[in-house]
Amino acid sequence: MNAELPEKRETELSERYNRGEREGANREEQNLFAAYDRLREETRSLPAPEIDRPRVVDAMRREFRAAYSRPRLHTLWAMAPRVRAAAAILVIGAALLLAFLLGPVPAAMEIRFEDANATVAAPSWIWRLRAQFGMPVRVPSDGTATFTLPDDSVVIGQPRTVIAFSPGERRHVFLASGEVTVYATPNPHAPLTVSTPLGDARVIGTVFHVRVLASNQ
Amino acid sequence: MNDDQAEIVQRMTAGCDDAFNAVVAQYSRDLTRLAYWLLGDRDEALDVAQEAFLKLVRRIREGRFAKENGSLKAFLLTCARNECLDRLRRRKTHRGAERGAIRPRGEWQSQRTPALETEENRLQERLETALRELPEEQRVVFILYELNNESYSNIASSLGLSEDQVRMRLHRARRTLRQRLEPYWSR
Repeated sequence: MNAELPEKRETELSERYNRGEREGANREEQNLFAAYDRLREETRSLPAPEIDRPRVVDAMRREFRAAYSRPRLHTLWAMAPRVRAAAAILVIGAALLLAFLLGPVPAAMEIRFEDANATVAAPSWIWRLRAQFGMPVRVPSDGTATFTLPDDSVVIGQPRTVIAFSPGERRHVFLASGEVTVYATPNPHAPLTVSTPLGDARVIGTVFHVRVLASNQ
Repeated sequence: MNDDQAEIVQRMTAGCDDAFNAVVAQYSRDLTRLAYWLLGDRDEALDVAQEAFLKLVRRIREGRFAKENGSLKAFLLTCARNECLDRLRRRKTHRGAERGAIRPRGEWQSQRTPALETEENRLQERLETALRELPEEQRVVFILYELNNESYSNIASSLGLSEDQVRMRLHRARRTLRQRLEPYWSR
């Protein structure tokens, strides 16, 4: 019996017991540790209320089924934060791409390549995308590229020509270097402009060539 | 996660009733024991246990349980203890600090019948009575430490206490219980 053990002393021993030092140095300590052992053992076998097992299992089954009938977005949102972040980036990326695709571009511009033997080949999708969105493209050295603008004007780029089309203005061509032949559909209200580093050429409707020579030519 | 558990989780993922049954049969008493001795309310303890099982179903359905390699028992006990501590906090918010003893409600009775009134059972009942009469703040720390094997730091961070406060509450609870029960043990 350790009932009269001073509280401070018992606190020290209780701390030792928690640290796993359970070998009592004397009878008093041994009795105390034995009492703690018994207390622990009885605590771990305290009675527990009996659960209504069929009811809980039924609730689990319903929860499981409800999970599969919920909207997919809800399920996605309930996933781990990383998955949520990835999903958000994907949605934002898709929205930006859509905005880009539906932006002010000459949507009807047709492009085709012809090599030296007049064999027609489709340009790669990246090349086509660059041209559609106003980025400069270089005509391959072994053929020509024919661009049909939305108003049916035709621009033929010679080999190695670097050219760009303004996505906002339908009749504006930028020629950085090389040579183009332009068949401009007549339109007195909107001249077709070919801008070069040396100046602009504007026509209302005709066929003309523009050549930009490299500085060493 | 051991093979048995992995198999149960797999069967639960497929929605097998026998897996739900097996999990409830295996762990429900651990959950209700912990919840009852933390909350002191039979109905609430049963609610807490059921909610822990439903959380497990949701976690498995989301495919997160297996990836985290948790043990089923640890997951369920953590859910139950967190829910109990939330409920204890809400009680204090709603009714002011409740420092009293457990007041069993509902139909909670000991599982024993008069035919099983052995000396051992009488000793167990004395522990139950002594626990019910402990101040709640000591009982919660004692139960988390002794029944749920939690560390000082874990209990301290969950209850918003310092580790020294946890230590003192545990030692006081242990001393009180020992002093009340030891006379009967040595008979």
